[in-house]
Amino acid sequence: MTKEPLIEAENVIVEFGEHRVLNGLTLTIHAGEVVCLIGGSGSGKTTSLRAMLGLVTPTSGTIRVLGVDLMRADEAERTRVARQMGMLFQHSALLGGLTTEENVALPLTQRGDLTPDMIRSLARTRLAQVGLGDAVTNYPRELSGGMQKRAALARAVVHEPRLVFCDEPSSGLDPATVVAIDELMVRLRDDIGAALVVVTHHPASVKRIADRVVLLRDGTVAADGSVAAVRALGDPWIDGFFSEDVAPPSRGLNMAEALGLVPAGGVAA
Amino acid sequence: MADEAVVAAPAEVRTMAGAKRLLAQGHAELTQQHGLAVDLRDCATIGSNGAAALLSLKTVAEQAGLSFALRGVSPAQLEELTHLPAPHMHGEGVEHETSLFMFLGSIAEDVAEQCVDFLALMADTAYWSACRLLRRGPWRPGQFVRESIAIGNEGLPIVAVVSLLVGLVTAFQAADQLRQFGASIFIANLVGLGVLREMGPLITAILIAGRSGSAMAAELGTMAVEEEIDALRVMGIDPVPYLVVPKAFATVVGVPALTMLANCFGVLGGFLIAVGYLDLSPDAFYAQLTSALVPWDLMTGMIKSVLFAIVIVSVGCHFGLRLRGGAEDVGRAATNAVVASLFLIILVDGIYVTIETLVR
Repeated sequence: MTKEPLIEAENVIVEFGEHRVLNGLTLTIHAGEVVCLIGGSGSGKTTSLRAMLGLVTPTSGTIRVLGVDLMRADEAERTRVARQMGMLFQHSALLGGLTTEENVALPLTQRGDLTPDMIRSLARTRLAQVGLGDAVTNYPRELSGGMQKRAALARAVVHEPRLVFCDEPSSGLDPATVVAIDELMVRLRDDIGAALVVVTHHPASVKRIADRVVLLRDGTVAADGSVAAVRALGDPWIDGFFSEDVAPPSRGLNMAEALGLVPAGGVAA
Repeated sequence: MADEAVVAAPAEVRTMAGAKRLLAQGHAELTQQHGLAVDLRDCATIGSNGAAALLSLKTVAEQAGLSFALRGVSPAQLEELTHLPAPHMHGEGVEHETSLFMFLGSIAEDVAEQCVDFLALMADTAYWSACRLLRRGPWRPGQFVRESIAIGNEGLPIVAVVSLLVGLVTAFQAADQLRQFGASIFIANLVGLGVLREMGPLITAILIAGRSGSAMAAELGTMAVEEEIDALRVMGIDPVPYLVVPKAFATVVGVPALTMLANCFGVLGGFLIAVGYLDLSPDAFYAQLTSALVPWDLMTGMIKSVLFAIVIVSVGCHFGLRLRGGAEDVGRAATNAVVASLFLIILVDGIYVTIETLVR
């Protein structure tokens, strides 16, 4: 596996109004690896994805994607970088006015160097790969949630990007479909050799696909390493996350503390 | 410190009814400035309701400077409470103090930001439209035709019917007045000038702002909510040339075309009143109409309709693209787009007529 860094984020700060969402995020993503971003709600997972995609402009810090500083790049350079990235959105974000095939073909049509026949053949091949070979002429609203996710995944990888981002690919799907999506992501990664950055709430998915786990907390990296290494840290949130059957402990007070029965912080796990 | 009253929590405190009773008893003691102790001996479990009631009493007691204590807490109850997450009772960051000046300031800031966004979108649209004419930039084949059908073809019946009615009503209102002075024939001047210069372009613009401007805001707004706009950006496709420019072309072609139609039907309305109610001959009406009108009357209406079309498409797309939030915001964006378009259409009309009158 090559160790070429594709994304280098340094001290990235993102603020929405007075609310600081990313607080000095520093993260490097290398070619060909599957990185799972985990963390509680509001820890900045989605925002860090959006910042790396250039959809959110940081207040300060630098983000270099494929060697290009996103904040200093001009429009043409940003477009060039964007065309080497793919994104699977949480709610699929297929364009409602286009058929499944047209949606998947969209990243290809913008290249301008492919014939319509070639585009169609490439799009249909990817759709067949995700098991939607029969749904090419359907509109997104005619597909189930799982099928939309798979079509969106096909669209995210059809142009063989070097970086694929997935925002909660398994949210709202049944367990069998989650496994199928995971397998697809890894297979497509192997196929096109891209790095995969996945935001997920599914511990089973993390165990299945992750080369590296990054825990975000309060907008910064709290842990970074292989699944085994991160679990060995003994962080209560991580233990809760991987124990699967218990909800991750909340970091506020519990009722016994709030009512003054035990001192605050006195019952740490 | 005042003396302390002991309240025994009801056995069924984990139910809503039990928690309510505990709260009532506790508040009764606290209002008499007693400190409060709650005895939990009778309760097997406390539950979320009971815990919420206890926390509420504790907060009230603390605010009043009174003591609060729990008695007879069993290990099982302590274990249960340990596993219940507690809310923040001293709502930090929930209540914002807003003065009138801060309120006005935030409105001014919002308006300024909207204006900058709006002008930026207009500039972007103009740039990409020019690029399109030179065959550059992302483009969706067939989209111009689809948008034209949505704006022009589907707007046709309503524009025709409404302008016919407006022509009829205008002529009808004026008919009796003109007849009193024996000036019935001037109905042709009134209808011809009124419709071509003012009513035709204005009625068409108002109808299309309501029909298509709101639809653009809703369509783009839904796409923004569903992250489709972001998906386009991620694919390196600028949403302005891809989504806005086809709408702009279709509107700038469609609205003047519909205005021509509105002119015809408006004049037809006047003609029907002149012939049917004022007993003028069709030939006399036609002769009077052609002598009253000059080509510029038609041109000025057409220029206005192009300006109105630019207003409709810019406002509709502006409110759609800048949408953040959820489904209810889509409805609000559509409403705002219509209100803002109507206001700007009337404003542009006023400015245009003033300039035209001053220049002549």
